Amino acid sequence: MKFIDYYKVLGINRDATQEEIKKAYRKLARKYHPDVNPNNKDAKVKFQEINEAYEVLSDPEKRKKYDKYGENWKNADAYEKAGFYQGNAGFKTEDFNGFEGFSYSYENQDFSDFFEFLFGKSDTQRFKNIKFKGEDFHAQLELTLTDIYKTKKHVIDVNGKKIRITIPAGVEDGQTIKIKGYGGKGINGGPNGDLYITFRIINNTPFKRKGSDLYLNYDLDLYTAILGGEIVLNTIDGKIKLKIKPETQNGSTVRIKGKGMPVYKQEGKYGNLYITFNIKIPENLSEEEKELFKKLAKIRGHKF
Amino acid sequence: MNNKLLKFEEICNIYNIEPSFLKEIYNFEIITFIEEENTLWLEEDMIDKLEKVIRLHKELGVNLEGIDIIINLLEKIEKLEEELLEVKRKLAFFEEL
Repeated sequence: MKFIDYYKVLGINRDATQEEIKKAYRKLARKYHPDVNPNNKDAKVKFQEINEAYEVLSDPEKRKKYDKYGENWKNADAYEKAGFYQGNAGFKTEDFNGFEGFSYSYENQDFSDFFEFLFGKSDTQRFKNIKFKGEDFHAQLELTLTDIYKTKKHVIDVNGKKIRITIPAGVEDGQTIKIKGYGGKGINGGPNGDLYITFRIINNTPFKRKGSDLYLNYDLDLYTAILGGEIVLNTIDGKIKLKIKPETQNGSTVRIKGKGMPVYKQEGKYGNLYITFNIKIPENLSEEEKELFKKLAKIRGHKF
Repeated sequence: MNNKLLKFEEICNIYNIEPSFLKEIYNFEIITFIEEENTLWLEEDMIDKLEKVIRLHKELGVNLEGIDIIINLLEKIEKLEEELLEVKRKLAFFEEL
């Protein structure tokens, strides 16, 4: 637990008047209000901080107590060690295939440990009265590229409540989906809040992804490139055989239809896989090989 | 999911706001209401937006002209952020090459 300098939070002097405190608070509130900073966690934290600071400094009683004991709260350190404890919302999730990372944050307006230490649990509802619909929950879900190749059901644990959700194949990195009614409970019979899940897609494959298309650089040996042949290729959907036409050029690309990622919310539709060939020139040639290459060069009319 | 309707008077009660203020929100066309049987109804899906309007007004003291501007700008920002995300994805693709 750390000392919080409420004067610094509001950017005012220790001898600020009530009017100055109010003015500073209002200015910061306009800047950091969550409604004008959507999806901005830093602003939300900041807004909470300035509210807490204002809660203390705008109340002459609290301000007096804070000025007197605030900085010396450590004298009561033993008390803290005796079991002062505030739990964090633990968070874990599992799907049918095992563990996946999942983080979750409340939209609550809990004050800091420091505040509660000095003033006890606050029941002030400064910004809570304009609520009928439940809180929206925001969560981040990490999935791998192979996870999202197929539409899958995932069971996630939101605040102890198991929620079964279907994640459509082909979601994009950074995409947010809204699950209606899975947020906080409505207030006084209001509708429930919504759950927003933002996906973080980890690429665990050698492919590069662009929308539903996948790209791969493939090292092709010189002889197959010149004479043609067949290679076995690992696609995201398993192995395939790919014919290489003779005289395949370095840097040339072939398109393999339908071997990309599924197109989001268009069942049965897939993007393409593009293979770009990187032709490997043999190294450590033997004398015999060198002679043969010279012969080839001569046939082509190459002069040394 | 069902989309319930909230009656004009009910909304005033829930949020403790003056009917004249709600009427003004309607007149400013910040929020779409359904007009039926001589009364105004709000779709439950619009609650998020209405709560935002009320908060901006009560907590930050913004008038409806200002709220209209803020909401338009926020919608613009949202669109730009989506575009930015798309551009970032594309850039990441080329940086990986």
